[in-house]
Amino acid sequence: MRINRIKCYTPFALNTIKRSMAYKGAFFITLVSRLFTVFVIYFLWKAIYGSSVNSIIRGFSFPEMTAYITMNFLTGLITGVTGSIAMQIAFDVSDGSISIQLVRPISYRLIKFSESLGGLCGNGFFQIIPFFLIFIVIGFIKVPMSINFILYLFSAFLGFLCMFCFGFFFGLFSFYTTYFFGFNMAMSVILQFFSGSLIPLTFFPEYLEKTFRLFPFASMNYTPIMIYLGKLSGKEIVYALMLQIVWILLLYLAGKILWSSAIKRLTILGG
Amino acid sequence: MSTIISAEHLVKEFKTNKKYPGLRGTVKSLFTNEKIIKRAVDDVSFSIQEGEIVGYIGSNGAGKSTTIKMLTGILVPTEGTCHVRGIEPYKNRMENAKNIGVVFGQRTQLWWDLPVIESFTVLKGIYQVSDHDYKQRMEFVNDILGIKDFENSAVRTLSLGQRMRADVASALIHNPKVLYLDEPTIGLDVVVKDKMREAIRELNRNFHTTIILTTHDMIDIEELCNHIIIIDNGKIIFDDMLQVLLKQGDLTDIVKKIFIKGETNSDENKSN
Repeated sequence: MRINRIKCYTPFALNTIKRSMAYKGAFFITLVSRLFTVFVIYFLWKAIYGSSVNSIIRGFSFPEMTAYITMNFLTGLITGVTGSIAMQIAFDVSDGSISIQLVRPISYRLIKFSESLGGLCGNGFFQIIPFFLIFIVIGFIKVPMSINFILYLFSAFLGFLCMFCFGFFFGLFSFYTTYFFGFNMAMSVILQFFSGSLIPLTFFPEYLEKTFRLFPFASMNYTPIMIYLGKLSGKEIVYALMLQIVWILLLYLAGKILWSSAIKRLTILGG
Repeated sequence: MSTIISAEHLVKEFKTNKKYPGLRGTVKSLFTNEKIIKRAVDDVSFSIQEGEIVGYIGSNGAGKSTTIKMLTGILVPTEGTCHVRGIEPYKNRMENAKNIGVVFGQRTQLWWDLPVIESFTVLKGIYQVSDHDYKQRMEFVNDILGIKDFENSAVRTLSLGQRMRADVASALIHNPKVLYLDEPTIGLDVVVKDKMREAIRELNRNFHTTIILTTHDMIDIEELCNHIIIIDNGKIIFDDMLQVLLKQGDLTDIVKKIFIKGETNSDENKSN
C-alpha cells in the first residue's frame, strides 16, 4: 500500500527528467553558460589575489577560493534545482493548471517534491558527476577526504530539502498576488547574498557572519561547501547539520500552515 | 434514488483591487487600495439524485465553473456548504477526488509531451486501479470513444476532437461515481459531438454514473439531460426537470429569453 503510494508519484519525477532533455539546445546552452560563469569568477578572484599583498584573504588561500567557487557551483546544482519551485507554483497558479492537480487524489506538495527529486537525479547524472570529474582533472578541486565527502553529500541533500521547503513556502505567496515574478527576483538576490553564493560569508565582519549562518539560506548552500573544504571542526559540523534539520522542519511547518490558509484564497484563473 | 450531491446556500466571493482605466488610472490604482467584491456564486442551493444527468446552464461568467470547482473541492466556498456523497469536498479534497472524474473542456489534464496511453497508466497508478479493472475500463472507453487509433501519439499532436475524447476517457479510468463535464463539446465538430453524447449516455446507462454537464450547446442539453439547473449572475433561476422547461416552447428561445432578462435585470441593478 505504501509502496503504491510512492509509485504514483514516480511518473512526475521521470517526467521532469524527460522534459529537461526534450529540448537539447537549451540543455547544452545552460550547461555551457553555467560553466562559463565559474571561469569568470575564477579569473576575478585570480586578479584579486594577484594584486593583494596577502596570500590568504579572510582565511581563504587562492586554491581554497578556487575550490569554494567550484563547490558553490556544484552545490548549487544539487540544492538549487528546486530554486525554481516557487516559480513553478506561480506558473501553475497563473495559468490555472493547478486546478487539474487538485482534482486528483494526490498531494500537491508531493507532486512538486517528486518533480524536484527528478530534477536532482537528472542533474546528478548529466551535470554534477561529469562536472565534478572535470574540475578534479583540471585541478580546481582536490579529491576530497572520504569522511568530508560523505558528510558533504549528506549536508548537500539536507540543503536540497531545505531549499525545497523554502521554495514551496515562498511559492505559495503566488496565491495572494498575481505578479509573483518581481517577488521572485527580489528573493533570488537575497538568496544569493545570504547563502554565500556571491562571496563566502567569512568576508563579512565576524558578528554578521555568525548571524548570517543562523539564517536558513546558509543551510542551503554555505554549510555543505564549508564541510567539503574542511573548514568546519567536528563539533561545528554537528551543530551545522542540526541547524539544517531544524530549518527543514520549520520551513516544512511554515509551508503546511500557509498552504491551509492559501488554498482558501485560491482563485482559479483562466476559466 | 438518493441524493448524491447537495448544495446549501453556497456563496463564493472574489476580491480584486479596483483598477482605473488609462495611464492615469494605472498610476491611481497603484496608490488606492479599493477592493471590489464580486459574488460569483450567490446563495445557491440544489440537490442532485444519483444517476441523473444534470444540465447546468448559464451565460458566460454566470458562475457555473465556480460552482463546479467548489463541488470538486478546488475552491473553498465563502459561505454555505456542499456535500458530495456525504463528503464536504473542500474539507476532504483527496477523499472526494477518489470518487469523482472531472473534465475541463478548455484545458487538458493529460501530460502534454507523453503519448496518450502513458498518461492513462500514470492515472491508473494515481487512482490505484487494479490491472483487471483497468483492462475492463479501457475496453469500455475504447468502445464508446475510440481511443485506440491515437493512443500512442503524444498529446500535443492530437486534434481537438481526439484530445477531448482522450480527456474524457482519462476521467473515466477509475470509474468515478460522479462525473463533472465542464463544456465537453466546446469547439468540436458535429460527428465528434455526436460520439461524445453517445459516450455520455452509454456511461450513465451502464454504470449509473451521475453526470453534471455545463455547456452552451442546447442540443447537448435536449439530448442528454433530465434535470436542468439554470444559473444567472450567481443565482439559480430555474431548477427542475427538462420536460417542465420544454413545455414553455423551444429550448434555445427560452434560454435566450432568460439570459436577456437576466442581463437587463443586472443592468438595472447597476444603475441603481
